[in-house]
Amino acid sequence: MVSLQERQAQMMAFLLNGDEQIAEHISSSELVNGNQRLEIYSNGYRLRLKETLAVDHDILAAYMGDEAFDELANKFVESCPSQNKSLRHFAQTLPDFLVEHYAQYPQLAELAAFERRLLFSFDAADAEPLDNDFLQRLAPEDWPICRFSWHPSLQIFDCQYNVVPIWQELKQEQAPPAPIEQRSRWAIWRNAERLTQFTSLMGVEVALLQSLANGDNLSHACEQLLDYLSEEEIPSFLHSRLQSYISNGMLCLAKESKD
Amino acid sequence: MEGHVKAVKDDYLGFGLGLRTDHFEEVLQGSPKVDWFEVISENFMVAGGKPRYYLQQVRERYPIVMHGVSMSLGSTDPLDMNYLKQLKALTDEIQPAWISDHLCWSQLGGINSHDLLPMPYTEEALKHIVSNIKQAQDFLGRQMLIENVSSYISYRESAMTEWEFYSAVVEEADCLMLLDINNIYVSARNHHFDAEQYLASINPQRVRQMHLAGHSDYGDYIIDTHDHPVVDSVWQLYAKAIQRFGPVSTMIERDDDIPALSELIGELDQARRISAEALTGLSVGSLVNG
Repeated sequence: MVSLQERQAQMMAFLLNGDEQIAEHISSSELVNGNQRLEIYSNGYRLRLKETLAVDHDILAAYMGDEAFDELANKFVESCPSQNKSLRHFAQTLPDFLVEHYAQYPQLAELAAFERRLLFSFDAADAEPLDNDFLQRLAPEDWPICRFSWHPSLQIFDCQYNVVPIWQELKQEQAPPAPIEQRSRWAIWRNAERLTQFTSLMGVEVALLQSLANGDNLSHACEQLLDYLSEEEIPSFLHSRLQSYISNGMLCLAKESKD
Repeated sequence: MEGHVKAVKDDYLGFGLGLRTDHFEEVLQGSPKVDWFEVISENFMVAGGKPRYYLQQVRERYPIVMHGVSMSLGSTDPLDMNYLKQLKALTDEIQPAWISDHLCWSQLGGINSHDLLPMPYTEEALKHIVSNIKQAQDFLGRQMLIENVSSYISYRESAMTEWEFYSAVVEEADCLMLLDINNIYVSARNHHFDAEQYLASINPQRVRQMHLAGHSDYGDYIIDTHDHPVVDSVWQLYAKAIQRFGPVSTMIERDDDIPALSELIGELDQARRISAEALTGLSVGSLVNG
């Protein structure tokens, strides 16, 4: 008799590759033979993973259409068995898979990546966002040394195609725009009501947010903005953007001082 | 771990439901007539966000038990200590009445089937899963409940019945039973054994919780789908279980085609009625049909 480990390896080989070594070790009954019994598991295995893809990437599925998405799901399930306890992470390599196997449609990988970013923000750690009146209470002498940190859910998504407008139209069950090369940057985060949001960012905003994420104080962050804005433009830009980020729940107070 | 068995009946919670996303708001706003909720542990083993927030809110209002689906206790892969650490952290935060997982394996060589795969009922498998349950209980610092799974295959090398294997596991690992009545029914039909003989072999002192659920009946076999109401045959088996084991905390699992909360509460009221009447000694047939 083979060991437990070998028997489990045979069962897994059947699920993953249809290897039938296990079949002779499974009992049959008059009504249902061993192969039919095993198929209940292999069918369930594929169905479960494909359902996960369809739920986590419902907009990609709508964009591709049932037939093409089903073909993608079959290929992905066969090529990328789950290496995670949670189905939530099963499709985390889907954007890379699309880059490799659907290179002629580069917007697909970006659309899948956008959906994964939304999932990440939904599940990210909690943190207390700054109060809406934080800047009003900040003493003038504290502005230069003040530091912020990103809310753990905040991410910047950089894409080369118009995948966010495509996502938005499909979400509204409207026909998506044709794919075009159109570089854009987006902030994605979870707001105080725990709803996932996103907004487009100008290049100067990306520079500001990345400076804050690097732990720069506001004095240093202003220096980064000189590549984009004149010295006179910076104070009002800084105030309006910071107030917007704070109101949206994107920023927290930095935990540690860099100086 | 002395004294655990005696404590079984002291922890009676009543009648519960699985906490599902669709019902989060209604549970918080409406304070529905549910004695407790069971949560799928893995759904809340995330860093933060809405599900964790709702779980904390529901925990303030109701007792919670945590039910895991991926500890893979029967696998010959080593136990995933990172998973156990995350589970323990959630347990410390939520303080569930108890935690449970399954008599099965799911993962091998780092690949996860995301299924509850049955064990061969052999001495080797028994020793293996007992060792893993002990290790998990020691790490978590608490006794676990282990649930019987629905199965569609049986291995030719099995030297015991499922109930002999299950009973031996809980005695040797000193754990408790989450007895899934639907799973007993499903497996009995699939493997042509007597569900009542199964119940008769179970040590009542080990049974702390019961699951009820619906399934899909394909005639020659049944699949445990959790997407239908509980069927009469399972209600009848439940009544017999209650007659044998006495009052046991019972919940209804519904994981697909999830109906309105009010519909599930109606089904839970049926469990309350059948349990109460089974305890007064009415005949099982009159319980389900009357």
